[in-house]
Amino acid sequence: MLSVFESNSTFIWASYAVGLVLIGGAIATAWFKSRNAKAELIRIEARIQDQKRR
Amino acid sequence: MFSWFANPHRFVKLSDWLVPACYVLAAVGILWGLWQGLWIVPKDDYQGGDIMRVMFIHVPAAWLAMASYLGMAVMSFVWFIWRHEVADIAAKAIAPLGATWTALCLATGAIWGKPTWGTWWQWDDARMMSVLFMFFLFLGYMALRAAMDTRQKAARAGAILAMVGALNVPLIKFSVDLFTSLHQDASVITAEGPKMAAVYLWPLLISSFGHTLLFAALVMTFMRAEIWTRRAAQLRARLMTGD
Repeated sequence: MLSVFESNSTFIWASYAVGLVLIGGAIATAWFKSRNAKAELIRIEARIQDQKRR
Repeated sequence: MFSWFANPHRFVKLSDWLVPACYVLAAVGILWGLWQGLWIVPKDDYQGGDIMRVMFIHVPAAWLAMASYLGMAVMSFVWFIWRHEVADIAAKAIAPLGATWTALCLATGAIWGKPTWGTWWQWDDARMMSVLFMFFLFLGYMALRAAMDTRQKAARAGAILAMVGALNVPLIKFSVDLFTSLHQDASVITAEGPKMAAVYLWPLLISSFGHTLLFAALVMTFMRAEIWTRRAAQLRARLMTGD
């Protein structure tokens, strides 16, 4: 499936591999950060509700 | 208009549907550009043969690196003048992503440079050095914010650095015209219009559009996380004081 180019295959694939790592890392970081921030907010909101009830 | 967007709650509601839409369209644009660039478009012997296929990742990365810095500077300006919290959150969110795309631009440029120019890097090349300087500006912006003890001080110091550093962006764009450079002249955004054949231009534009949408989606994702983090900190403080 991978294209084998007449010249510079290693350089071409290396550049796309760097892209995959950097962009993939950015997506993963954004996803984890967002998920953790949302979970923390929900946890604190639940604590406040709990405190109000008591 | 700025005031309408300045409401964090309104931004989160708007981004609830905008973020997934941007991710989907970005995936379509990037994958289509990748497929065209790697499997469909013919090699260009004038541009060194197959190595020009690196263009479909290098050029979008370069455009986004510059656009993201300008975006960070504009958001900093909006915060500086109107003190809109969402603008500061946007500037803060852009910095790590701008650094990522600038790193991608530098890395793919070096990989393209080795077989084309015979060197990975040239220390006295104005284009390479001005882009490297921008990478350090992004890192410096993040370090400066992290070094401040209050959010207001961090926003002010970061905004000043971002606005002053924006002077580097036109220098990057015109460095190949003003100075001797290994880098080729502009071939898409020129006064006479694109110099590139349509068979390369369209995949490049669509790939760049995909990268831009992905970048926007990631900025909004980071912004949402920051808004939730700040809200959680407020609530935690309220919980501590028992209000």
